[in-house]
Amino acid sequence: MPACEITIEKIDFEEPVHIVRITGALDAYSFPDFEVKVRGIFDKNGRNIILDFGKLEYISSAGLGALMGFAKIARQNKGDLIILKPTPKIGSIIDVLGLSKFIKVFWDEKTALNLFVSKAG
Amino acid sequence: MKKRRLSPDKLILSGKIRELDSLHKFVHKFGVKNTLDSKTLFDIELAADEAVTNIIRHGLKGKKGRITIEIAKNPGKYTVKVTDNAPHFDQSIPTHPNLSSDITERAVGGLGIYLIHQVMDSVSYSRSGDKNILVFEKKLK
Repeated sequence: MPACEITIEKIDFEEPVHIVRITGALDAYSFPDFEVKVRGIFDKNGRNIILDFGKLEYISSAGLGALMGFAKIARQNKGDLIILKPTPKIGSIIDVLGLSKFIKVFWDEKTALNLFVSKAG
Repeated sequence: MKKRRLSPDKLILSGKIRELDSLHKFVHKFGVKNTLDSKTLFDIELAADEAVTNIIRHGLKGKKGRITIEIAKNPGKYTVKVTDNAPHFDQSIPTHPNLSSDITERAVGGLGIYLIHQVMDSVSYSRSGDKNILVFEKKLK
């Protein structure tokens, strides 16, 4: 399994949207880097974040705990946190913890971005 | 003819969180060797990761230790045995995180043990001398 790699893309809508693409594994060793990078977006007043899990192969409770923290911050900031393209295995773990009630899940990037376009409109 | 029981695959860690990468590789190697389906492999990997992470964080608490992970394919099931020399720490007692509460009221603690119990068919614990022994099993599909 490849180590965790994180890249961030900023989409300049009226209200910017950050797409965070994560590959590899999010576990207790790798999640601090993920946490620092996503918190960096919130710290710069970014509040709309898409987490692209399309190439994420594995997540443990450490990564899921970070996800819960981000969902709380996004809500407090009146923004949105979206998970994009989770694999069925990761989707099922997100469901086991009941997180899909609070975090929107999309399987298509265009549709996810459209949510922010329609919000701005 | 009596079936021969194969000796388990074994990995020994010293209690550093960066060793989780070795754990992932070890479980994947076992999965390939035994042609596990991807869901079963994911569940065993998750349970082993959560157990070992808890031992490192809450059992050893940053001290060097010895964690032995053994995985075996037994008749009708896969068995994972995790032995460590941390103080008494029983991960077979299920946790009950409040999953119906709102996200703003959710606590992160206890999720790891909850997940172990969710993805495994049985979890048991014993203390032998100065060792914690956690055994969890996944039925073969």
